[in-house]
Amino acid sequence: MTNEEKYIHAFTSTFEVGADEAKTLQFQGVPAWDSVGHVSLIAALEEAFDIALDPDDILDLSSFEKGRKILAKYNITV
Amino acid sequence: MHCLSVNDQNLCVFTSTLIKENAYLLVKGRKALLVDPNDSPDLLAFLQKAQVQEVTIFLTHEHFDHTCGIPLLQTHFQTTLVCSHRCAEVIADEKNNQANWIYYLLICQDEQNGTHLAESFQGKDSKYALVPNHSFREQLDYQWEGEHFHFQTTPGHSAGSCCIIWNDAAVFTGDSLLADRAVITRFPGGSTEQYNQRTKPYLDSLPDDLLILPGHGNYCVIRELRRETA
Repeated sequence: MTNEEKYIHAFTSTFEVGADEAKTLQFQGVPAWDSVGHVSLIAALEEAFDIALDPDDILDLSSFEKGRKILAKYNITV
Repeated sequence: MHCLSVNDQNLCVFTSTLIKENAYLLVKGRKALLVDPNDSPDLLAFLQKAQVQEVTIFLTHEHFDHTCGIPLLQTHFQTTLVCSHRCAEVIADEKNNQANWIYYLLICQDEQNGTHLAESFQGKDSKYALVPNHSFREQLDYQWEGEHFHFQTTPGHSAGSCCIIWNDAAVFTGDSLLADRAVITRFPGGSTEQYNQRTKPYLDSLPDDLLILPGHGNYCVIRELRRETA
């Protein structure tokens, strides 16, 4: 799986949406992406990329697009 | 801390300050039984005052708020840890502590309620790994100082969740059944499907007069809970 595929899969599996919808997602944009869903997303990303996100980054991860930029800080290109 | 009478014995409840998790303590002589030790500051002081030497610890599941008191207890007492096999797998790796979940959820609560809980949580997220002395795949019968405990795995809230029935009179449900709020099955490792297929039928089969001792919130008799949800 490429990084892009892993990244999309974290969103689709956590929020049970399709890939196209995943790419438009924002925090609280769907019922599943609430605070509990956010915790699940963080765990999915940490497992997929074997990283531990800083607390500030956990807070900043407010959309699919924002997440790409955050992962770049961990030298992960999506 | 407050106490309630269960099985004609004094069961003490220590609720953690920030996360409001319930740790349950039973003391017999110099031995203590603790279910889900949290970081309540009163807990260690109480055990020391009671001159406890050995602590048996039961875990209802692997989440940080239910295990975070263990490292400190291990530095002061001889401990025996009992949990499900799946729980054991998770707590064996310090990466799985996931204290950052708690931190994040406290920030959300703060934003909603104007509190400052997350600030107080900083520094409490030390990582630790735990190795149980006894673990089980599905069920376990365990005797402690003349008391009988029956463990039954109840996956759903987490993969390693279980309920622990005490002398057929009370059940420590962890976060698998709560008296005053819905069970969350969306955390990592959780499964709504597992909860509905395995855990819910098990909980539904428990007798009406069993006392629920949950991981958060109030305790009640199952009958009352069923009446409310009927």
